[in-house]
Amino acid sequence: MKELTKLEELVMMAIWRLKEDAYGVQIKSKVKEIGSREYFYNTLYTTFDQLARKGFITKHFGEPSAVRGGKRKVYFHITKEGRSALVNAFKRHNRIWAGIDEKSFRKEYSG
Amino acid sequence: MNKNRRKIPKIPFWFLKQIYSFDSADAYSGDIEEEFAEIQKCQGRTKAKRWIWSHAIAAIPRWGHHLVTWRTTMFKNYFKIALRNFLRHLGYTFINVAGLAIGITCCILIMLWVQDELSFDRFHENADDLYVATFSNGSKVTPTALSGFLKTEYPEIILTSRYSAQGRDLLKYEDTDIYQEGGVMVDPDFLNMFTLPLLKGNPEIALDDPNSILLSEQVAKKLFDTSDPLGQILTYNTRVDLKVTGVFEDYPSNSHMQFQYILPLELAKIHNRNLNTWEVNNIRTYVQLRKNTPVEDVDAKITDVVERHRPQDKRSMSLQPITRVHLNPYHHSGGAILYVYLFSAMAFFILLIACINFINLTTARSSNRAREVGIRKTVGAFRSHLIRQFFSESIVLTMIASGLAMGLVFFFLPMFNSLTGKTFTWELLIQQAVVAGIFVIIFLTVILAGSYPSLVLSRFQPVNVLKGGRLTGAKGSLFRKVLVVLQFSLSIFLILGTLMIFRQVHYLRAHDVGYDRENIVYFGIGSRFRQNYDTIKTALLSHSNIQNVTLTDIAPYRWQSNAGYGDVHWEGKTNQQVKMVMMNVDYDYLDTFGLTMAQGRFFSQDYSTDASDAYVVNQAAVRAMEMDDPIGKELKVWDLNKRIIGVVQDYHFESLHNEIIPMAMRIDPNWHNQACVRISPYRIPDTLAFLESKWKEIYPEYPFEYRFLDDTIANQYRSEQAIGRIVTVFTILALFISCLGIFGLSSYTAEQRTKEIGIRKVLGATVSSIIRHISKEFVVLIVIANVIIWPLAYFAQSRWLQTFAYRINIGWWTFILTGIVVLVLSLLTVSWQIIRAATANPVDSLRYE
Repeated sequence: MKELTKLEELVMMAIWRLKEDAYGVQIKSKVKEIGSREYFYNTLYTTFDQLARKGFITKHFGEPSAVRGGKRKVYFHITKEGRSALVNAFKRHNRIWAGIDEKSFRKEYSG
Repeated sequence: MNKNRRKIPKIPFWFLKQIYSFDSADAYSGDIEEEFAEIQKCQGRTKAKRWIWSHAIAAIPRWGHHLVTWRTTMFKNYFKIALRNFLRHLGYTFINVAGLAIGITCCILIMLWVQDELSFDRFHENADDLYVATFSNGSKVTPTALSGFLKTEYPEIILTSRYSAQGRDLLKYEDTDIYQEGGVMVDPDFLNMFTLPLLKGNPEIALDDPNSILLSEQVAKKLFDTSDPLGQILTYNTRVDLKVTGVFEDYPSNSHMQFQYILPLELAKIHNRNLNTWEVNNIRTYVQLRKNTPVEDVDAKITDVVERHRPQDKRSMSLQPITRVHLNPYHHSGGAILYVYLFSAMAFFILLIACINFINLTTARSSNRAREVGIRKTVGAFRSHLIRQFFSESIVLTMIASGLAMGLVFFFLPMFNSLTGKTFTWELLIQQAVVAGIFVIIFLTVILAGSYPSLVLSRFQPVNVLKGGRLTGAKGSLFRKVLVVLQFSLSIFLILGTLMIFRQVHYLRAHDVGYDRENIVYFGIGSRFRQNYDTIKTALLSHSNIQNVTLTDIAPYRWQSNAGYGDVHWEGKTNQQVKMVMMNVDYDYLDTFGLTMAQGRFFSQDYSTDASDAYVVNQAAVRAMEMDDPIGKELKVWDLNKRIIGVVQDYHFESLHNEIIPMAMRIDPNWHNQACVRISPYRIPDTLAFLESKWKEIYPEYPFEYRFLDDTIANQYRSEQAIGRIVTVFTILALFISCLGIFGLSSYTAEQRTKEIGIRKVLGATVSSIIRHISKEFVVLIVIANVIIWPLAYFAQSRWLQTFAYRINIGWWTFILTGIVVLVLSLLTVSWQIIRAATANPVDSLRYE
């Protein structure tokens, strides 16, 4: 099973959270919101292409609008494989951090 | 206005679009526009602009990376494919690389030569303001008074210096004495005009004292070895003591002036030389103009400056830039500049021939690449990509060839030096101008060789190519034929030129000069020799191997017609304008040089009047004066009135570049400064030893230095000979590259037509008929090349020959001969491959049908 990189994971989660509204501008602001860091479009789109190549997301075209200079939106959806990859990632996180609470971890680390 | 304000700034937007150009490029740029519009609406345009700009700037590293990786990825692929192709067809690659490498090598070598020729005298800081006074006939020998007159009368002329070459002098310091060539006498301003860095001494005062001398580093080392020469006293020609006031850096060889030591012109007064006269021309005059003075203005003012002071000299005067003296020694025509043009053209020809090989072989074999082109186009390559690809292939090939060429240049540089008589070192190759030149050559090669094939190869239509079926390179075959014709025309042109140069040089050397130049030894003499001449002569003639001895002021070959003419008057003169040169000879001159008399008699000691009242003229003089019976007529040359006693048959007292001009001989021992001795061709070393022992009796303090006349004469045509050798080498190379080219083409033809040849053989054709059939195409091309180039070659040859007064006829046989040689050579080249194909067993070529 292909692993997700951190950025890919972030983008996938943003798409998942946005449900039907997952296109460039929205994804960008969502990623900024949950990842607390701004990525620019070229980075995001490269990630989209990568995810699409891995088969984790699909895209379909929306309507063009004047505010976009007459260009169509591209909406992204998570596929079945994408979902299982996310589940795997989730499980992995849990495994890695299993049985650790933040308070005692922080204490131990600084001590 | 409002609408315009809402627009997204073009530059950063364009830039951002560049860095993502894949699957969703449209959505990507749409997103940017949408967010831009959003920010503009909520936070104002300034914020939005700042937003997009900051992103654009942040993307620069990314963009660079993107650019490099994509280009290099593609180039890596191109490079790999190119290398595979080169390796698969090693034979053709070799032909291409070898041809290009030889072509580039020739170009680099010739460029070195041309740059050196053009660099003459450029190293002077004031090079653009320095001129030399030149008469309209190209002569630079001017009156001594000219220099001072120009400086005082014309404010544009700020500095002047006279320049008088001394030949050889004896320099003595304590126990060391050397005969040193290359002395010059100049005015003190010389050091301010010309760039001549002094290693020791003060240039402001170095030449102020008439008894001073400046030495080159080399001469200073010879005389003083390691001790400090400054302030030391030298004895000059055993007579005068001179103080060394400076040592200058060895003077560069790329100058028309060459000297090893410098003396103040004032010193010439010890020879009672008149340094302020208009009466005779015997010195060069260099001037420096004020910066940015148009030389035409000065020319207009000084045009009659000599005539004003000496009405009989009608030649006009003008200033020639010193940077042109080497290239155009006669000011307005001829000289080294012709060879600069000749060689540059030749370099270009050779490069062109090599590039044509590349073009022909690549386009002829283009069908091999057709499928690749089809597939590349099908998977989305544009034609521009393919052009780029094939161009980069020719770049790769040219680079390999250039690397090889650099190696060849290093290797052949010493040989080239001995060929040209220059001293190029490999350090020269890293000089800025040379490196730039090399890059230009490589660039030119890439353009010449790469542009046409890349256009042809990228033209294939995928549908046609991939459908299957045979593709031949037949489409461009007419163009290829034209190129082959061009190649061979150039080669034939060069061969014809070489033949002509050699015939002309041979003609000049073998031409009957009218006197016997073999076995004559000559050496310079002084007054002590002159005074005791009779005794010396008797002593010399007592030796069995010495046949004749004579004195003269100048030996036959040495005369330079620009040394000045005398005005002539004679009995019965109407209004012919005749100029005559004057020679001072001795009674034995005729016998020593084996001249023959046409009329009258030569000088003889039996007639007491011959020493004072007799001229012997040459036939050219008689013709010029239109005399019917010259004997006994009065003749006045240089204001000397004498009677003509004889007419000598015309002989070449100058080089064969010039025609025989009117000349008068007289006897005046005061002018004799050369002794000429005819010796027998046996036991020459003994004779020379005897001459030296006699010399030592008269001049114990001077070493004996002699020359053979025929050596000196051969030296006169050395420049033609050197040119001949260079031209030969490059011609052979050009022909070689051309043959390489048709070798490649013919082997490809043979390869392509294997099946045809097989079928022909099965149907009963003989090997010889097949060879005839295929080589016919090439023969036709060579014949066309011959026919096209002959008239052009004829025209060019007759132009070149016109620079010689005595010249060969352009023989038609050379044309025929060249045609046959080239034809045979190319037939041999072509048939090599075709014979292989024709003798092959047809079973092998046909079995897979």
